[in-house]
Amino acid sequence: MEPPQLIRIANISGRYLVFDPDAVSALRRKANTNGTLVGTTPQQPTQNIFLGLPIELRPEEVDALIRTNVAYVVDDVAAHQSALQSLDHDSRRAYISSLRLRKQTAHKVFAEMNAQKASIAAKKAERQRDSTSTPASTNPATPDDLKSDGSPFSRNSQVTLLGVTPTSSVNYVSPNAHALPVEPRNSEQGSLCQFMLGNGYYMTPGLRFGARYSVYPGDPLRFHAHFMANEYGWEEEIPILDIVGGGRLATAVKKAFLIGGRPPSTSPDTALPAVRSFSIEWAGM
Amino acid sequence: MDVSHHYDADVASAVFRNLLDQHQWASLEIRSLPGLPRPMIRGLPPRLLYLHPDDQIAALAYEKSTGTRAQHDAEFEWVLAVHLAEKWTLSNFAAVMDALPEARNGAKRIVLAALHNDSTVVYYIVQEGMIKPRQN
Repeated sequence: MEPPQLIRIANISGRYLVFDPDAVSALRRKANTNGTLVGTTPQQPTQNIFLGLPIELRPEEVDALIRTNVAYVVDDVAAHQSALQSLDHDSRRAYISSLRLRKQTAHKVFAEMNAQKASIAAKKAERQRDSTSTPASTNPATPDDLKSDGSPFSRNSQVTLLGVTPTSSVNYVSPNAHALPVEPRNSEQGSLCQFMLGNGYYMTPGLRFGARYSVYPGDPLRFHAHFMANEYGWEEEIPILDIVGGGRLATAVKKAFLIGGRPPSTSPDTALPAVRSFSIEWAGM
Repeated sequence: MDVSHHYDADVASAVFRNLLDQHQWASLEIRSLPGLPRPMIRGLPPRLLYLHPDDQIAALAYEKSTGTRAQHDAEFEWVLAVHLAEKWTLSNFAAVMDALPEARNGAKRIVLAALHNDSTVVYYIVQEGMIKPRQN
């Protein structure tokens, strides 16, 4: 059950992020935590349809992962600053030359890509010219004009340079530097999340169904959600109208509305808190 | 539950009438269970109110293989009547569940009846634990 390696969660301005693709897949496979993709592309930072790494985790998920000894949290800004400022002269030079090398490699790859594109375009243009020159043999006045406006050549020769900013400091930051002290919050909040993670359920944000979590019985790519879940404190007042609304909406999307929380008597340091939960469905009458 | 304080008996009787007149429940009675501040309604719906999704699948498979519909007799249900304006807590619900006798099969369940001032009653099935939803 336990991943071979602790997963490094970066805490950056209050958000919990995981950047390493291997860590993300380990989280998903072994800790049934899929997180939310929040990374956008540098070229189009405003589009939010296709998001990639890093993934962001909810605070209570991070709490649960720390408790079950799957992950640890690092103050990433401090770790980077201290690592990069404490480089000695030689490693600083090595670092800069490695940056240069990577930039050159990127340029080379980009140039090759463009050359390949240009050659494909050239072949296409040639084929076009061949097909047009067959009928043109009956009318030999035009072929020169056709060649002069063969636009693919002129466009592709204008190769713009790709600006690459590689994330390069990773090798210089030791993974455990500035690990934050492990102190899981001792509050009631998060025990439902911990309980569901411990029982193999997956969670995604539940806002689109008006709840805190959508709860899946397995990987969200394979299953539909079974529950819309809200956590409440043991003595927190729940308006009946919220139960009616949540229950009705959940039933309409073939789910059950789940409310749950931890009774105060159970000790907080057990790995799986005793959580009581109630599944609510419309009775159909 | 200060709001409920003065009308819990009225709410129970209104829901009782609604079950009797509108939903044709039988053998209805109002019972007070030990440890609960308010009465519960017990009754028999005209047909089975809740079937666990696994049993639903089994019933469908049975119907497919034999061509006859699987017979499910109605079961007695416990109804908790509340007013829509009330606020409940997890501990209140837990106390209700704890006061119920053990379920014959599956998880403990109650029917939560929420009554509004316009005398609309809506019914929800509340079960103890994480019970997967029905395929409806």
